[in-house]
Amino acid sequence: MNEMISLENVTKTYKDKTVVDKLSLSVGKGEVFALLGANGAGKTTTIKMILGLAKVSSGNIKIADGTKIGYSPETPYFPPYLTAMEVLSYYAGIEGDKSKKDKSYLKKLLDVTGLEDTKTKVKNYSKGMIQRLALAQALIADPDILILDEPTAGLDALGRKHNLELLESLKKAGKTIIINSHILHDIEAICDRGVIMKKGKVIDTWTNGVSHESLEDKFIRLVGEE
Amino acid sequence: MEIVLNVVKEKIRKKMLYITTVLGILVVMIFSSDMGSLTIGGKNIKDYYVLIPILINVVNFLSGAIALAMSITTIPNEYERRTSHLIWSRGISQSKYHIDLTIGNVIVSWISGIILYITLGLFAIINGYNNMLGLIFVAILFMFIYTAIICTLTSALSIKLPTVITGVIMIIVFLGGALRSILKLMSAVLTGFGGTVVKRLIGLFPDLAGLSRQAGNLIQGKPVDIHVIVIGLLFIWIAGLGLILFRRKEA
Repeated sequence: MNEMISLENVTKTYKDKTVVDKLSLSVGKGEVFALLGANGAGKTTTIKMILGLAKVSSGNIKIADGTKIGYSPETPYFPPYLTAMEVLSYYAGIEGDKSKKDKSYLKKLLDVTGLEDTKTKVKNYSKGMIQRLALAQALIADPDILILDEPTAGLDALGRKHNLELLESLKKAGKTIIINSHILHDIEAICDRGVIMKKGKVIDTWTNGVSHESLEDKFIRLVGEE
Repeated sequence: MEIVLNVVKEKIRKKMLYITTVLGILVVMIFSSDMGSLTIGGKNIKDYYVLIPILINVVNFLSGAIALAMSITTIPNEYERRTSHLIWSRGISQSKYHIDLTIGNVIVSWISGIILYITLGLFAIINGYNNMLGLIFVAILFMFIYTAIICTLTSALSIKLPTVITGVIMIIVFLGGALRSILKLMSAVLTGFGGTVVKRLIGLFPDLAGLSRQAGNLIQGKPVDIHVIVIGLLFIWIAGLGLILFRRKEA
């Protein structure tokens, strides 16, 4: 399996506090990989380091040459006075690829993410619609890797189902996906494998379908232990 | 360019911009009409030709206030809302990001300043000074420098400092710059080490008063001091360097 991202002994410290401690992992092409852990485990910091939003204190992050990354944040903010089409056009413009600003291309992205209505302004969007828009903007550059921070958090059952179906189709399309989520049922439904983090360290790995123990039981057993 | 346009779109939707601009138009209207009376040295100033440098000062001051109010939160808001995540992760450098956000604010400040100058122009026509019109619009260039100084300086400081501290510093700098001539005059009586320090500190303020004075001189057909313009542009350049050199550790 081609390695798309690998982290070697990655550490992140803020002043005296170590939030990610010698983290090593690798994600192969076409894999859906989960970063699991309770709040403060270092998952979001790990994502930020992969994306270059935070500097690595020590260690190495290797990303395959020419890899395009799409990112959907946990709490996305989009200008409320814009429509979904305008938001996508804005980010497509920032990408610097004129072909991605093409309206029919952006419309297709909106259709894929279930945001067919292009006239409603973002200020009238539900949380689920904003999450879908976040996903749509992450897909603009047709990325090789998608990094999704809590893609189903705060969504109702229907919204979650829709987003999971979308992730499933992206998986089938061969995208490499890294997901940070608290919703373990969703992780089991979509992810191939992952790591469980606690206080910045990997305390265990998880592979879908290998163990009889459910991910939730395993998570509670490991993360709940002091 | 996308970031610049987005800032312009966002700011144009702010009520504050309209309120300040309308307030500015009202001030110009009151001063320019018979409703307002301005007394200098016991003389009632009614002549628009004499009044115009004062109005230029007022209009530039209001444009500067708009520039400050807009710029103070633009960059901090981007980081607070984490919009920066979606920009940084697309490989946009911090300096380009900060410069684009600042240019957006400069453009909006210019737009509101131009509206105020148009009001000045209209009142010049009403008062029969049609010949002033061309020079009033040339004087807009001084307002451009004036507001760009405030925008770039505020934006540069807001990258590194908390909003409240940036606000306090910039209000001091803005008022110090706008009242620089008066402060210089007042400090002339100070002597000794303290006096020298105060004079040097006043010298550090951007010469906003000087820019307004030169705009007034231009309209009145008096000589314009290029030195003030060059120093103003130098301020923008230095603050612009701040936009490049000041960096956030994280998005």
